[in-house]
Amino acid sequence: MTKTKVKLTPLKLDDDAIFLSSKSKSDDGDESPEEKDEDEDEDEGIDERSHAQLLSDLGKLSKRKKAARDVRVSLGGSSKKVDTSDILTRLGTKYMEQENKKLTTTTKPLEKHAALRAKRAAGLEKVTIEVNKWENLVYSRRRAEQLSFPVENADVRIMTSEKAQTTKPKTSLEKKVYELLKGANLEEKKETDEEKATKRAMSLMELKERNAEIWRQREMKRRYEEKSRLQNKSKSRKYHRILRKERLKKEKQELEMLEKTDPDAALERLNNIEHSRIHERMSLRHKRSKWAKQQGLRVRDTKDQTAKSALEENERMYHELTRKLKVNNKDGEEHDSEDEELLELLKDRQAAIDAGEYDPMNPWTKKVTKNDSGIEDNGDDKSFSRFKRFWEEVNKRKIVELEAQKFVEENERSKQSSFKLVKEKNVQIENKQDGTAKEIKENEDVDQIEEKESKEEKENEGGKSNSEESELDEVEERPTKKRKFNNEDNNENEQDKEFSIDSMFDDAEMELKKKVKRRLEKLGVDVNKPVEWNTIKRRKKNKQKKGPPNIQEFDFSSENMRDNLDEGLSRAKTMDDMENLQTAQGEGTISKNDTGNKKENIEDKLGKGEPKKKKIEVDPTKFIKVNAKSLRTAMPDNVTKGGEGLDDSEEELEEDPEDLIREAFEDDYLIDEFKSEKEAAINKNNVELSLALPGWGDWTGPNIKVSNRKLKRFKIRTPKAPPRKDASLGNVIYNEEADVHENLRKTMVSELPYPFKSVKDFEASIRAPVGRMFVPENAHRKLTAPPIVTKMGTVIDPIDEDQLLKKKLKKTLPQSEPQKSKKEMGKNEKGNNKGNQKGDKNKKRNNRGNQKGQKNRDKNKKRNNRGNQKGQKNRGKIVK
Amino acid sequence: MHLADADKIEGKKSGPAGLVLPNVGHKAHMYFNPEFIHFLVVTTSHKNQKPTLNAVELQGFLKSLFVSSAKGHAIIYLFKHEKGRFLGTIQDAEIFLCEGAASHRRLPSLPPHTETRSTIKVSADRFYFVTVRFLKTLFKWPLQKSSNLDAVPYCLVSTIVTGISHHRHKNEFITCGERVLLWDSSTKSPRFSYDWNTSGDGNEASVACVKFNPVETNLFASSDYANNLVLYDTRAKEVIKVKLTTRINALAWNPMEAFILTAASEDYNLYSFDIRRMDKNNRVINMHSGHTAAVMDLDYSPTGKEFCAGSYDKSIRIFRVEDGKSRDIYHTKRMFKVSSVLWSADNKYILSGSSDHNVRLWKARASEKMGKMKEREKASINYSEELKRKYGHFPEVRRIARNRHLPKHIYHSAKEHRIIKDSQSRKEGNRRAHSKKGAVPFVAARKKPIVGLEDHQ
Repeated sequence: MTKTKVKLTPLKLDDDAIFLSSKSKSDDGDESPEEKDEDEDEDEGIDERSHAQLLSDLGKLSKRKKAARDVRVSLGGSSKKVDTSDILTRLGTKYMEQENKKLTTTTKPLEKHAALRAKRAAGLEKVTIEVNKWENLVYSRRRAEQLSFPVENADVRIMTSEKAQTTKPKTSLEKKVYELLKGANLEEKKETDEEKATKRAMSLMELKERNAEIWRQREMKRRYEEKSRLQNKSKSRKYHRILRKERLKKEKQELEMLEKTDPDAALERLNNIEHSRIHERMSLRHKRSKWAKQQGLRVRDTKDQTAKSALEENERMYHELTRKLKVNNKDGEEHDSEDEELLELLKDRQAAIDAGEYDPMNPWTKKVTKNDSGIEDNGDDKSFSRFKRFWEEVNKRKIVELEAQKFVEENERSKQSSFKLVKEKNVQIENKQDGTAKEIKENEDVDQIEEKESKEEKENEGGKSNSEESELDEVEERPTKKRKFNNEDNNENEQDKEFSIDSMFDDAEMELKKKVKRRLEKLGVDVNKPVEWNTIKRRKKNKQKKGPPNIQEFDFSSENMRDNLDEGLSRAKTMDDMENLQTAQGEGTISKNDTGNKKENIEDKLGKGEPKKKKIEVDPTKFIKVNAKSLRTAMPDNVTKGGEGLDDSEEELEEDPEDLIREAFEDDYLIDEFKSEKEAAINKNNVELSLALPGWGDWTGPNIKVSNRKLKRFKIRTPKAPPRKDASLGNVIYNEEADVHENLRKTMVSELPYPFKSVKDFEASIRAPVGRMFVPENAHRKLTAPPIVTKMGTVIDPIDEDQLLKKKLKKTLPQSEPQKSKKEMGKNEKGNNKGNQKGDKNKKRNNRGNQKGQKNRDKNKKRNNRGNQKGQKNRGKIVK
Repeated sequence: MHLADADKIEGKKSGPAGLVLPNVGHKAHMYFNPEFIHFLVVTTSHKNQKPTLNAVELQGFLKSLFVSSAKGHAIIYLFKHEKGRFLGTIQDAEIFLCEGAASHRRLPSLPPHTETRSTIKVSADRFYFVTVRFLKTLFKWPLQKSSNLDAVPYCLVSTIVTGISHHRHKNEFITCGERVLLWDSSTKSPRFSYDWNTSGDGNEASVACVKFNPVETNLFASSDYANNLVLYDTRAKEVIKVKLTTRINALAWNPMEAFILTAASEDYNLYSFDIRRMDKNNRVINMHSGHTAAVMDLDYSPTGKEFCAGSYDKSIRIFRVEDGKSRDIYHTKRMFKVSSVLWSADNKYILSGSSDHNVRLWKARASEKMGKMKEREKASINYSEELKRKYGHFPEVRRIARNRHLPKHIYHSAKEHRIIKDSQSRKEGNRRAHSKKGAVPFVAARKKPIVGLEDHQ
């Protein structure tokens, strides 16, 4: 509301004068309208004319004037008509002038629209100020690393009079008031300390009693539970065994007692036991029950120890139940029967041998071959034979090694380092080994024959000694094939032996080699020079009887043998290749005479084999290509790996003036060349693979191609490759394999993300780990804390003004801070750890980045702090 | 359609969206030696790449729940009590009341109402709620669980009423329509009438939406059909008026930030205002775009960090307050034009009412795992979330994170809008290039939607 003062102006004064005159005519100027009416009634008769005048005047009155009238009326006046000029003269012109000087004319009230606008502007200002009080809270919440909802209410605590500090009267007035209060006994008497203590003590006693009671009940309950638990618990095997034994003992005692007292009852008991035994024997409950079978399966499948022990227990039960039998049967019926069976078996066997059908390996006559000692003995025999064989082998090896060592020792003693000798020795070793092996075999054979004879004799006798039986059996068991093999291959068993004792030879060879090498080194010969097998082969072919030129030739160990024998995968396919091979061989023979070096051989192949070809097909482009290559390199010649041939050609070219001219026009060729090169590069990746095999479904052989249909049929279909990057670039070959950054590019951020202000910060944030692999668990938790925490089903109210209060409370009452909840503690700690939270928005990230002792940590912190202070100041201004 | 059938159809997608993120939950040795860490640090980004990508990919799971299918044939409006407990739907036939987002118990339906906008509000003390019937009658309903809902005809209003907003604490409410009227629930006549909503030509423009500020409870805002956005203070009456180029369909105040007001516009965008700075230069503080048709309704999440908007393009978009582009878009095959959205008070769900007569309940975060979790699982989820935040700027991660399947119509219309926008900017550029310097000034996109302030010359 705009305030407008009523001010006296001459015009208004006139109005007043009119009004006053009318008023003076009408009444004494009472305040309430009702009274006024009454007055009018009284004055009715006095002056009707003036009344009419009054009414007309009243109609003109405005509210403002009415108020003015009231004021004026209080001045009092006569019923006479007052002339305004009189009043004015009475007041005096001087006074009027003075008054008029003080007063100024009011401005015209604003138009409605303008007034409203002003009002709105003011309103907006007010609203802004009001709303601004939230700003700090809002911004701090926006920046907060974690917000938990619903928002906790402000902690408003009620201080009781006891807790509150007693205020001491300071002024005299206060003192008086307090005295008065005390006198009036208005204050509640406070409990003295003693009273409190007694109260507390009482309660403590009660508490103790109650606690004791609770404890007693709990303890009783616990004991009861323990007891019942133990009773319910499944007992151990041992427990049951003891129990059973006790029971049996008891029964036995009872039985004995019964025998003495009541023989009939005892007999009945015995019958019962007998009955149970019979029952068991009939049913074989503990032998073949379903349960036992299952247990057996379990043992077999799962190796279950409990099942195994259960089975054992079962077995024991069975024996226990059927024990009585053994005690009764002492005649040895079973034994007799067994003997009879054995005799029958032996008879059968004899008959079979007589008939010439006896074959120990024949499964159908196995019954006959089976000897009397049973299956277990057989098993023993097998293991024994294996054992024997093993020891034979070991003995053999020992012999061979001994021999080898002997030779080596001899070698050392003689200290002669000729290759020939060694080779001869080696041959000797071989021969000797063969000889020993032969001897051994022969010996064996003799033994076997002897054994066989003895066995036959023993069979007739029906031998019983275990050792003899086992030997006998061993011979029987030994496959006859081996014997045959030995007999047949006695003449040509060199190879076989070589294979069978490969490893032994290898060992000996290694030993030998080492020693020879040592010796040679002493003599100053280089052993490590590699020798190609081909050369040796050739040498063998050409001059087999000549002495071997190289030590490597002695490497006859089985592995190397195999390596040497295996041919390389590369084969000569074309005639050219064959030629090359031949020439290489030819040269090899020559070079061998000169140097015997493999490398040079190869170089010869490359260097001299190719020029031959090139001489045949003369192609200017290729010629130029070579030239271009040599020109392109800026490196000195000695750095380039070029062979002699290349150097030669270069020299020749430089000399030739015609080639220089060709060089000048080489572009034409180069373009073609480039095109073909690019094509090759493109085709390099477009390799079509087919799994078609020649000879499957059709004929194959030399000069027969696999049909296209078949190739197509088994073609491996690969997804279409993305378009090449040089597809649109004419004169560029883009080596896609060399583009290492293809994958890297995916992980590269093209522009600085929003909250970050420098690349460095962003990089730091990315570099900083958050996983628990890399940071301590606590840090990991803090770093991965969710920014918003809400509870399912909990209503989140809009923020309340209490929050503002909370903030203020915290600020103003830091010393009387209430007990923090755990959550808050966590938060604050976090804040402390990570520095000032009121920094930029990217502060969090910065800190994360810098957590691990980054150098710029402190710097950042400072910077941020500075920023904060500024921000806070500004905000403070707005609020205030 | 039977409810059960509808459930089957809609609930198909709702498989368990639980996240079991690989490579994050294992116990591992820790290396505290800083030098070693420095060494390992270099590899972290690569090490974390896979889990990050996994996490981002897994967030694509979407879970929508179907709440109810409403009979009849009308637009559905949702409301919630300021205390968060009550949710309701209103349409031309009935009013449903549900209690709580999770339980969605249906209270007995109310007699028919014929309304076009959300004209229902629950009182602050939760004893009654007010509805408008036949555009002229206010009804007051007792709100108790067991009682039969007998409407008490409250009063007949002389003007047309199309919307109500209730004061958060006091028993006051505001109706909008022909006029903006302030009511006190104890009296039967409006306490005050605000009449600033006249359009330029002197005709009164009816008011589309009115909303009380939940924080600074004396403030409220309204939008009218003359494209005005008006801010009121119940003490100082009108405060400020902004004229926009297009109409504003709905308004929402940020429940955590008293001065942020967001408006859903007919021009497919949403605009956030800071009411303190609605001057010539800082009119719109953020423009949220993405919808391809008029935005019909919006609602803030109770955390004040996000809001959801429902549009005529048959989709719901969720925006972060500070972002211009939406965080997520929800749509289904059967959902039609969305007329009303609501964010549940526990911040976990979003409700939408659409003109296919259905109310849908969505998870506010599609990939969030609901229900109890073990600490370890929580930790692993937190870790993967952190990785997503950390590596969110990397192109590969961002590509996956932002990749959404869009319905054809949205995809194509978005494309079309892009073309239109491009051509307009191109044209402007051309004009600028071919005219005198300064004749075609650059105008910020945030200033474009606003015509100007009324009353401020």
